Amino acid sequence: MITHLISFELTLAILIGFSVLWVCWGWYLGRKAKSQDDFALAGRNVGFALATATAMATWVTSNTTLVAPQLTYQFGVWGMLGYSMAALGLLLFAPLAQRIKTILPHGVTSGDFIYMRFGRFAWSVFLIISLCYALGWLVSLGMAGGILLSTLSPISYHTGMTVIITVCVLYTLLGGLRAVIATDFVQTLIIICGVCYIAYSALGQISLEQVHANVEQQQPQLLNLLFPAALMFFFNNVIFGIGEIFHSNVWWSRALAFKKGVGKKSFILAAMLWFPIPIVTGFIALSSNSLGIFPASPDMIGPLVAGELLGGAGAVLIFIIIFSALASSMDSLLAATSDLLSNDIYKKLLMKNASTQQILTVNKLMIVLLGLFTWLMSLPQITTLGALLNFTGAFVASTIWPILYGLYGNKLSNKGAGLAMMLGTIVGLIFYFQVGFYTAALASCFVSFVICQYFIRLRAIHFQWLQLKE
Amino acid sequence: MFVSELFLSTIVYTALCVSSVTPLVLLFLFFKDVMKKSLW
Amino acid sequence: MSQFAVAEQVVKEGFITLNVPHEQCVDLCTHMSLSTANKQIKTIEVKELKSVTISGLENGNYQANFFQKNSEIKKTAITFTVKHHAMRFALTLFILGGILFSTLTIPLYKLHKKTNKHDYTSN
Repeated sequence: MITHLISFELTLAILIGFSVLWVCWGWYLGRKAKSQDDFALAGRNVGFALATATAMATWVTSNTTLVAPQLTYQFGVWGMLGYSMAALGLLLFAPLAQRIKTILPHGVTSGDFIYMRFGRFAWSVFLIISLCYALGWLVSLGMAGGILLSTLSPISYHTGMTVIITVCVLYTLLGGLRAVIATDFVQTLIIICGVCYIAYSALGQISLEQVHANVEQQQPQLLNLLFPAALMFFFNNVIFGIGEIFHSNVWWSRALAFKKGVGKKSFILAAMLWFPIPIVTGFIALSSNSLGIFPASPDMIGPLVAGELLGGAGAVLIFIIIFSALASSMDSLLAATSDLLSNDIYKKLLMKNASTQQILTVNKLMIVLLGLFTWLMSLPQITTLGALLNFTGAFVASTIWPILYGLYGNKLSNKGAGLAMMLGTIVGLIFYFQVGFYTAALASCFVSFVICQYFIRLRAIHFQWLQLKE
Repeated sequence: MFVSELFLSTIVYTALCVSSVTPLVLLFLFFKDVMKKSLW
Repeated sequence: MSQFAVAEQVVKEGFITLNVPHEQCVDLCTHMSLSTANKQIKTIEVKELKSVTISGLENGNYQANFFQKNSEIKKTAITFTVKHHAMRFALTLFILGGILFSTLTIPLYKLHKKTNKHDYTSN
């Protein structure tokens, strides 16, 4: 086992250095944000470069840097390619981003749209799904921080997880979405340069010919195109990625924050640039067998192989990359989920006449509470990152059809949308536990599709789009 | 049906080439936006 | 040499995480050898790991022996079976996924084209 590749002092120096950098920058960018639009949607005027970078950075999460190697280690070539296909989520969201900006020019959250287009029942189901997903993702990020630090340094899982959550809460709290987007740009550059350097160094030390020969001999299923579980995983991951992006306020808030006309092209470019990253981060997992590395938990394989190939310097680089990736996703998620809680729950349910200032205060309070909740839930390391993420797949895949038919059509009713999401999630969870984590999203999406079709064809309504005008 | 070494090499090297130019693309777009004063 | 059958389980994905039974080796288990009924596959070093994950396994009955390298007095065996999902079931889900994906992308493209020409909200 490769342990303590980075000394305690160096780990602490990197942690403090980057933490101070992100937090100060967050404070600097957020100091002028006075309204909720400034804080939650960065003034609704983000340009093409920052829009593309933030879309990429949010999607290059710790999941891409830790779970892509995990899935390659578990499902082989299908796992690596299947993870890459999550780029299709960004690509398909491009037209939706344009549509969202057109029909909801003053909207704040995805919950806003569901409430106005469908009504209370579908909105309640949607909120539960959205919160379960956001919390699952947040916990997976907290866990990833702990796993990262405990794999590469003497710092324990609990300390690592605590530090990473605290830093992200602080700078999101100080800067809002503007800080999130600006840090995303720098984090994207760090992450991509880092993973490319690691991949080039790895290829310089171990040839793909050697890796292929070794895997063929000792882990043959990883190269098998007819590997049953991996076949199921492939489209499941595609659907999961689409569900994540279509429903999540992380992406809706970006669509609303981008300048008019920027959303569609920035999501298309981000998808094209994101597509190869899981292959670059994932393929090194195939060399683990040649190197004699067998991880305690499959989600540790990426850092372990990089550490073994590149030694202490590689471990430092991996640490900086994953720390940046973690921060770029956790801050986005904290910002978007707190918007959802303050705008949808506080404003719609508790204080209908709340002033902008009150909502802003509640928004900040929610960021702190979310951070605390994530910390508590990350304390027991319940499962692997891949399995935890795919658990949320059962929830999010059920929202794809209601959102599509809601945004573009006028026939799906409140009851149809609510039932499609509810029953889709239930069936997805049954598949998660009965068949495997790699089937949950697929089953959920299929059931949701059938229910939506039933309501559109046999119980259609005629929604008046004027009702959405604010 | 097993993946050949050629296929594996092709996807890995293609991915690596595309990823290598990504930071340059982002920096180019960034400076273009700065010049046009349309960053935010 | 004593043997303990610790667990028997069926794995459907070809990967498994095994807990290293250090308490049943002398001092610590340092190595694990993996074998099927008729051949030894590999021996790996586990050192102080609490668990170890192996992947890419084909159908078959496997035995993982944990031992301390220079002291083969105590040896602990974990047996498990790899039986992948039926190909018909896997292909059904794969094709279903493909159909769902096409069902999503084609209408999305058409609806987007349509709304670009004629915006609903302006009605």
